[in-house]
Amino acid sequence: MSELNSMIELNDIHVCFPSAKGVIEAVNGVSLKIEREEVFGIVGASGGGKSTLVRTINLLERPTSGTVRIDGVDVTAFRGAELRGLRLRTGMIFQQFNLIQTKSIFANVAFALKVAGTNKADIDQRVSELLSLVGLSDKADAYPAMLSGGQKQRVGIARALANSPQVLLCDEPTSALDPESTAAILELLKDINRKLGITVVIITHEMAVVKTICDRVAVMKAGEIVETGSVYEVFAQPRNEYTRQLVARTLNLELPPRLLEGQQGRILKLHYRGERAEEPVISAAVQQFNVQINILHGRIEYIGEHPLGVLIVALDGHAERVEEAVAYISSHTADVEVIQ
Amino acid sequence: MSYALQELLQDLLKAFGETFSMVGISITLALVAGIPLGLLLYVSDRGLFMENRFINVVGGLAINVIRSVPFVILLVLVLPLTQWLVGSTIGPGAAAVPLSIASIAFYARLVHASLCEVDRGVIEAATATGATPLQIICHVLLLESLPGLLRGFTVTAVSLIGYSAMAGIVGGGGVGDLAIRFGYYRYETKIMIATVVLLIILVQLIQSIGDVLARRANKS
Ligand SMILES: Nc1ncnc2c1ncn2[C@@H]1O[C@H](COP(=O)(O)OP(=O)(O)OP(=O)(O)O)[C@@H](O)[C@H]1O
Ligand SMILES: [Mg+2]
Repeated sequence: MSELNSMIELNDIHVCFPSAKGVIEAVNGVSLKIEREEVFGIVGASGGGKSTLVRTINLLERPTSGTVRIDGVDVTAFRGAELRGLRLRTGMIFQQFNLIQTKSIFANVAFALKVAGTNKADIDQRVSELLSLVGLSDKADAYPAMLSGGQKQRVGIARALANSPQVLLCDEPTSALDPESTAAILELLKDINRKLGITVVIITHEMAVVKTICDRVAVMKAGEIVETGSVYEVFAQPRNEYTRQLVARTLNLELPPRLLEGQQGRILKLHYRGERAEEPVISAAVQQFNVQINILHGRIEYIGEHPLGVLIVALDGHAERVEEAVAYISSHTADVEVIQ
Repeated sequence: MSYALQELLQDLLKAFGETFSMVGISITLALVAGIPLGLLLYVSDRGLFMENRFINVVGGLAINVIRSVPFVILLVLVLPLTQWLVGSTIGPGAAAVPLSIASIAFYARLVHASLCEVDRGVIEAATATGATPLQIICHVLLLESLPGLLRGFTVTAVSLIGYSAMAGIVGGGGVGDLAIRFGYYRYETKIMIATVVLLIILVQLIQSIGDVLARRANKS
């Protein structure tokens, strides 16, 4: 409605499932604002409640309590025709693609349009448009079983976009795909977000996916959101311990233990954050304190345009000089960790 | 041979005609009533769009009760109903009543089983596109389970031929009646063998057609 509203606003969402062992709190008090035209990631371990949370957005799962607002409108109590209208405005794709096996690719996409009451001629035209958008024009008459995983997901995307939704919900869209198809699908999603201005919510358990296409990310654990922020913030300065582990694993920041064996002197871990001011500091320390420096491990990732990485260096030489050098480096750079 | 070939042919023709009418009526009813019943049982199940515990339990129970009554007993049990519906308890029309009841319950269970095989994710995807329950039933449930529905239909038709022979014994006529009358009471082994051979051919034919149709419908 108004540009001031968030596209999606979840307010204190709880989802409980009854089970033999009592009640499972799959989502436990989540509040979240997802802005217009952003790509928003939700990461977390298996069973953390990511799918359940996202399914409340189009009310595939009705929250036990809390409210869901889409484009400023409280939709939590929507039912029947109103609810179906909401679903026309929110497309969804799935890990297992969930195509109708007995319908051709054309018919799968056409089904979504038929649901919206589109007439035959418009359906034909729109389906060709959509198939060409996802690069599958030549597969219109094929059946899902004849397609590769990546192609099936493209059909899923075409179907989800059929009724020009404002929001595209993606539940682990690349988890069943090989690395090449994953990259291609992520690129397609990013493209759709940019060209069509569709807000994308994407669940994943891979930080790599977040790094590639998300603007902001929420980290979810045991039904709660433990951290939210821009992808760069979360990668560069994870505040939560769980997030730190996730990021460390993705950026491969852990030092192989054998590298530390037999190392004399001090070992420092320097974090790159956007600016690359560390190198002059190190070379200055080397000159000023007359110590030897040995680079053990280095890695730089780019998140958007910003570099992010680590450098692990060993300082050796006269013990006192080394301590001075460490103190110097620590006071001149933002983030240094003395490992040894 | 105490029995002329022409007579044999005439008897066979009449018997098969009766069998076809019994089976035809009941298989049609199985289709018309069994599919909706199986669907109702399925969509009223937990987590589906017409979740209704009462319908689910009562429907399932009714089907199971009918299926657990041996057919010969069902034949006798429904005699009053047959009398009321058809006005007689003799002949193919009368035999069609218990046959229909049994085959509706039988096919409804097979329909339900086929529907349970449909990937819940596909139903969910259709729900997420904003489809109505009716659209989901027509475009997802019935379509995705079509191979299973066809196979179940074949099984039902074949079983019906067997049941119809039993119905024949208690006055329904048809092939079973013929075989019993000549083969068992009159020791005309040849006639019994002839009817059995014809039955085998008939069943084989139905099975083959069913298999071909089911294979055609299967796109995965
Ligand atoms: N329909 C349901 N009935 C009962 N429990 C459920 C249901 N759906 C989810 N759960 C439970 O809720 C919890 C969260 O599940 P959910 O699928 O949302 O996690 P997830 O983060 O998406 O996990 P994954 O990464 O494995 O997909 C789990 O413990 C799960 O067993
Ligand atoms: Mg999930």
